Amino acid sequence: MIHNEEKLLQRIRSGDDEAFALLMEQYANQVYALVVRIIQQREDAEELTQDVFIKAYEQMESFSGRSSFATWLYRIAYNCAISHTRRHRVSHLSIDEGRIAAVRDEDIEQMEGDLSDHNIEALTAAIEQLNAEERALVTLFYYEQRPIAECAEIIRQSESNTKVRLHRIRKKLYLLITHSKDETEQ
Amino acid sequence: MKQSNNAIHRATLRRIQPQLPAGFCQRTMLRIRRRERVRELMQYAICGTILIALLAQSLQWAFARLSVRFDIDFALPRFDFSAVDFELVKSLTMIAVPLILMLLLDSYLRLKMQARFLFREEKK
Repeated sequence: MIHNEEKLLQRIRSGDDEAFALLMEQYANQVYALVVRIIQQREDAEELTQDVFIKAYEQMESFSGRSSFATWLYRIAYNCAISHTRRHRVSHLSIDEGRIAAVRDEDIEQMEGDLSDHNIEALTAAIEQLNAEERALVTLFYYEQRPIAECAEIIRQSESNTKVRLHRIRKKLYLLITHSKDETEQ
Repeated sequence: MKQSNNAIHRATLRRIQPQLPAGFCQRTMLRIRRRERVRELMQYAICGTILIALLAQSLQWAFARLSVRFDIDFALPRFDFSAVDFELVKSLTMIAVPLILMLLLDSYLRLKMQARFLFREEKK
């Protein structure tokens, strides 16, 4: 797979745009899924995915090969999607920092270990309420199952900062699901 | 905790994986090629404008020079042209030189465009 990708990259380097089309076919749905999960709009997501590939094609010279092609492409997709949400000023739920800091690690562990349908459903709804950057990180780490180092490279943050962000997201999710539980109980 | 036993991971799997509509790659390639063509045409338009401006300038310069007489100190190769032909050759040379320069510039730009996909060599 990687060997094949290297061959395709070499063909693109020599000006063969058909090779780029093959590479695009390989990654289009993954990039689209990431974009949809970040911007939460299917209508704009297709055009945005096109923009991602156009940018990748035009900036191919800047791809030095230090990271994998997928990581590089995901970084472009992440930047495009985040810029789109900033341009459209999508509102999201904000939670008091004090409340986030007060969440205990044991509560998070309990939330992550609870595989009941009710908890998973509540988490699915809570993820929707996160802001774009947080949803992107959840998608990359939990859905795509990319390692922390790769997630950090995609969002251009240090590994430790990415870990801190993920921890904060877990706390936020805990608050969101307990809030929804309280609402249903009332 | 293993990702498969993680409730957040399971929650992310709940959402249906979105699929791109058919023909996405063809449409994107079409857009890419159109943008390339527009960029190429713009480069040609810029080069063409410069060429026309240079030609106009050199023609103006050549015609202005034709009416000027000047004495040259050193010996120039002498061709057996009549006075009328000599002026004609002189003005043609003045037009041909910038033209050749523009053709060279055009070739250089074409090579540069062909090489635009050559990656920078990795510094290892």
